Amino acid sequence: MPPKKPATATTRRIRLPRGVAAATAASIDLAAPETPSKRRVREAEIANEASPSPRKPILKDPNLETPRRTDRVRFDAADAADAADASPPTVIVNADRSARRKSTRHFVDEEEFDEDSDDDIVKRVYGDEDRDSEESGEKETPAAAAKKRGGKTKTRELSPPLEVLEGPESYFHQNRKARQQTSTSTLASLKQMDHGEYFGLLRKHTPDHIPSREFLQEMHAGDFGQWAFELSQGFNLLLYGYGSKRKLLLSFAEKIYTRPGSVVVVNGYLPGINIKDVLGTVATALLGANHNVKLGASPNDMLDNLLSLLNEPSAQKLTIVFHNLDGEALRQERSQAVISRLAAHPKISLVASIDHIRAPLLWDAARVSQFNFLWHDATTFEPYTVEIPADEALSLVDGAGRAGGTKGVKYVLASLPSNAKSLFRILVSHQLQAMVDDGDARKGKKVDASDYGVEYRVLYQRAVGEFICSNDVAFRTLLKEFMDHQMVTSKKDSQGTEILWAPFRREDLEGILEEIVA
Amino acid sequence: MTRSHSPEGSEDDYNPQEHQTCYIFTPAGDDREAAARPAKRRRTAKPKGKAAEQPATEEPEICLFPTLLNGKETETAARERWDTYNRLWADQELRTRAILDSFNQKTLDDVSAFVLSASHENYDEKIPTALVLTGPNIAAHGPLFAQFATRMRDVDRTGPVVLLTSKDAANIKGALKKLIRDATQQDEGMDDEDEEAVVGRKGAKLLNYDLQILQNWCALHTGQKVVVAIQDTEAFDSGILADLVELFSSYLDRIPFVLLLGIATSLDIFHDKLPKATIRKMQGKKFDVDRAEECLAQVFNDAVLGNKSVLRLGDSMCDLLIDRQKNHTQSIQTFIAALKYAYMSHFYANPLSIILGFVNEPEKLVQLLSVEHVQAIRNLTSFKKFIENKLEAQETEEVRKLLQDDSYLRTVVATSAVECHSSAVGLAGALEVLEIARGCISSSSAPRAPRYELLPRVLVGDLHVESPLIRELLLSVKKMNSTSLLAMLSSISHSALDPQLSQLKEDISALVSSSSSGSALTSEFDVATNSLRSTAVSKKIQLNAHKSGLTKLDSEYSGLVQKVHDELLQFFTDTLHSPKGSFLYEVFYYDLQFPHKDVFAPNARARVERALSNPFDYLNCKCCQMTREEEETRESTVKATHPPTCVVYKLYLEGGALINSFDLWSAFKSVVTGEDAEDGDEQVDVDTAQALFYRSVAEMKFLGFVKQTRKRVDHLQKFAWKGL
Repeated sequence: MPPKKPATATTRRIRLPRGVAAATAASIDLAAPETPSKRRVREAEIANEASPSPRKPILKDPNLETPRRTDRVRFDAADAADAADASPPTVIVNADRSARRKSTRHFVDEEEFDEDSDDDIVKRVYGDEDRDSEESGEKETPAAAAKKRGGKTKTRELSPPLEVLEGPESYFHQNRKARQQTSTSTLASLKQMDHGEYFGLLRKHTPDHIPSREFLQEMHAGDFGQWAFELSQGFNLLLYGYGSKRKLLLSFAEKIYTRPGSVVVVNGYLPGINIKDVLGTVATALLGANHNVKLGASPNDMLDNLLSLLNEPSAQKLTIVFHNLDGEALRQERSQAVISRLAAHPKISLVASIDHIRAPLLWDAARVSQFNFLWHDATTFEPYTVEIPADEALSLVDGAGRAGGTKGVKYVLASLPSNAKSLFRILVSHQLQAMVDDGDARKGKKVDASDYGVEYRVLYQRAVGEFICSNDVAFRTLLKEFMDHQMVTSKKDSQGTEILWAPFRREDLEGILEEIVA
Repeated sequence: MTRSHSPEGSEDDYNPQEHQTCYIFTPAGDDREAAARPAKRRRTAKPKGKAAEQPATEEPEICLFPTLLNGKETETAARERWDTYNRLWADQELRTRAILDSFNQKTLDDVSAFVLSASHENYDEKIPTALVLTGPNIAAHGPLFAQFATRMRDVDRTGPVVLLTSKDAANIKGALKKLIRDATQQDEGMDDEDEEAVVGRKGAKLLNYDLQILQNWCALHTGQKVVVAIQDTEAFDSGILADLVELFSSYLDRIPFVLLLGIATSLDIFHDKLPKATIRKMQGKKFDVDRAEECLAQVFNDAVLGNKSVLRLGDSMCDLLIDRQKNHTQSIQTFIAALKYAYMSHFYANPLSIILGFVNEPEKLVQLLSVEHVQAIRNLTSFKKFIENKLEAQETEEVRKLLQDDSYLRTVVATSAVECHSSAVGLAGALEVLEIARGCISSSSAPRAPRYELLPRVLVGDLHVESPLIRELLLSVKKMNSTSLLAMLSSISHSALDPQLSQLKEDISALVSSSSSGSALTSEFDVATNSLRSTAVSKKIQLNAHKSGLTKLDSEYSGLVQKVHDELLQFFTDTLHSPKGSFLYEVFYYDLQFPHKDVFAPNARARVERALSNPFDYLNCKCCQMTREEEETRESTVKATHPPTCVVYKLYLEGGALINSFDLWSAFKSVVTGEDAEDGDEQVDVDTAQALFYRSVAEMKFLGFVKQTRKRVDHLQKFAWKGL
């Protein structure tokens, strides 16, 4: 039993193409496990004395996977040792299989292996006692087993290659039911970063590939003439590709600008964008700044009226430059329907950009024919500085729930009554005090913030003492607000006392305290 | 807020326009002026500007074509190209539009006749309903229903037509509101009595979704029918549709409703959708819309094979467009757009396209071709082939002249252009005859091949006089009896072959009428009608017997059949050969697939993935260039010099379906800060790396590759697998 274990571990490990470490470990381990091979040798001798274990070299081969393979080779060999002798059936790559089947196969293999090992254990327990009976039994069981597994043994595969898979294979491989192994480390140890710091660092950083990016911009700018021609012929333009296309679109807007009101810019990436604003601005561009035309309340009414305005012979042509037609606020069917109907009007030209890789799914056939898009690859490699709000960038990694760093804390505090602020002040100052007392002694060591926490009772007493609250219920209510914003965290220590603390670094706490006191 | 990449670094300027949802664009230089100008002045300036620009729109448009041939093309030539494009495409568009308009004509006529005659009296007090089976191509539905509406409103004048789509009818109130508003406002301005309609009998103002309004309106406009056209019946909530029908039916004696339902699927599905009680309230008539394929064939035949069109499509273009049409149920509009784009890119980028405009005026063309044009012509592959052929034919004198004498080449080009055009027309005629004739032969073995499938085969050289398709056709013609031959001849009488065959046709019909029996004459070549005998001798006997069984008239007829056969053979030999080798092929046949693929069927996601995984392909910089091994696998490894998002993307590819952010960060850090890089050229400190990491992950999320997951702490979920 014990010698079996490392083998299992190896098998499990090699299935995860997680890194070279695993691979080397596997290749070392491969030759190591002894029991199965010994047994195999023995049984092979029992089954067919003439063939002295042709599997041994196979087993040593580092390309091969695990001993369990040879387990099954054994069964094959028991029936047809000669065949096995000629061609070791282990190394058949089922290259012609579909990805789906391959990965299922993979999964089945793994389960099957468990059965095998069970088998083995049973055999090992009974094996030595009655070798005779095993010998006779061996003739039946392997036959049945061979039948049961039939083609499976032949279509066995190597474990997934360690290099990066692509396309469907990688999809199926990474979505097996088998548990994905990822480490449990969290970002807690990462330095906190607020907006100012974030922008400061990015500003100081010299961006890469400046000449190349400029070249890309110039290249696209060289197509402006063609784009303008295409627009003039009643097509609309859609730019796609990696990189922010804002700058490019704006310089194109400058190129096609003819008179005030000829170009309307829409920033579709803004979360607050509303389709009514777009229609309103288009109307303003058509009629001048203070027109008295009432467009109506619902987007559809507005659009109908706008289209009838455009139908007037005096209405002039208008180009809409639309950053991020796939912006989150515009992804509903309704908005897209309105935009496409507007874009279908012969006097409206649309120059739009998309970034999301699945943006084309927004439109069905009818919509596509209304949009009448010509697609152009406008890869710029520019960072999406404007399109992605910094909050988004910071919250993404910094844990979504936390109130956006210390800045968020300030906002929360500003909206709370003074006694809640005082409570937080007590907590923070208490925690800071503990940090200062402790600080210098344990410098360099990694300390959990909870070590400086305040006991629930203590904090309550102090709160009552400062007339912040008068009873436990009120105290809880105040705390809950902070807990909801993850400004206060609690845990029970080993004695079962509840500890409360604010999960921030010392510098942040100092900043917060200053803010409260000020 | 912007971090611009210009080296000057004008970073700190906060541009409010970035955070304004939409605004009217003013170019950078114009900015201050526009802001300073008071709004009032702009208003007064407006009408003036309009008046000034009104005639400008009447003027011929500005030439948007660049000067080609490395800028050596003359302004006039570019202008000429522009004019040629506009002229040719305008012609083509007119013809196409005429076809499209005429195409739905039959359905339009039928439906409008139905609406004209419909009234609830002769429909057993049920709602007269036209069920229009529009087919699955939803892109075509909108234009079709718009055609219905204009026809009924403006031509038939049956009354208001209201187009309802499922989007207008989220609830019954909204649907009724739209219905009433559209119905009562359609001829606004013609009378001012509308105000009365809104007021109820007791003087109270009616709610705007009360059908009473419509009833009052109908009382004022007697004799008008209210046509309600529902474009996407399937998308309607069945409850709302049922309620609407219920309402219409109860108002039917006061408001003469006519329903027009567009059905994309089938009648059965429509039946299942509505309760029986609702269906009983309607009495329907079914209308089939012409099939899109026929429409495509007609447009194609006119645009690519028509006598009047000059620019034609090459074989790969035909295949591409037809495949797209078939595999993606694209609408005919997309085909036309693709055709237009072919015209556009041909004239935009090919300086020699100018020749197309002067097929009928060779003299003018000779004057127009500049030295550069002539040089460009000498670089054509078809010109090289032309020369090689001449060389093979030992016409060295000619070759010398072609290569050296510009003015001689000009004249040759002019004549060749005419030839090329006429041979293209001839080919189109041949295809027409071929298609029609094949349609007349009732052989089930050969599937119908429309011209748009035949053309690429001819162009590739697959289809010529010797090919089985033609031989089969000619054999079948030989075997025809007089009735079917006459039918065939009359059906191809409008084609290019008419002058040669009309005489023969007359002869045959004279022969038939002279035969006393009035039965059809059989051809002596038609042996197959008799039962088969196996041996050679018996066959011979049979053949003789068959021949002897023929009357004198029959043998006379056989002679005529032979003549028809010979005519056809001659005709196909003359016309049916690939023009691919002929001089100026590139000018007359547009055959560049790539612009079309790029512009109409792009692979946007793959482009993003490629940019991220192989940034060198776009950036073309020295630092990211792939090593030789990498080039073999077409897969570059992670490098510190890659743009940060590319680094994250490469790491992301290596990760599983769930990615630990911290692990991703440590990997990123080690790549970017160059922990394992030997050379100490500029590296990034950890803090900057962190900021870059934040930005890169946010970009990945923005592009739709990852999303934060709640499954595990600080993990990202993978959403896209490369190459999938």
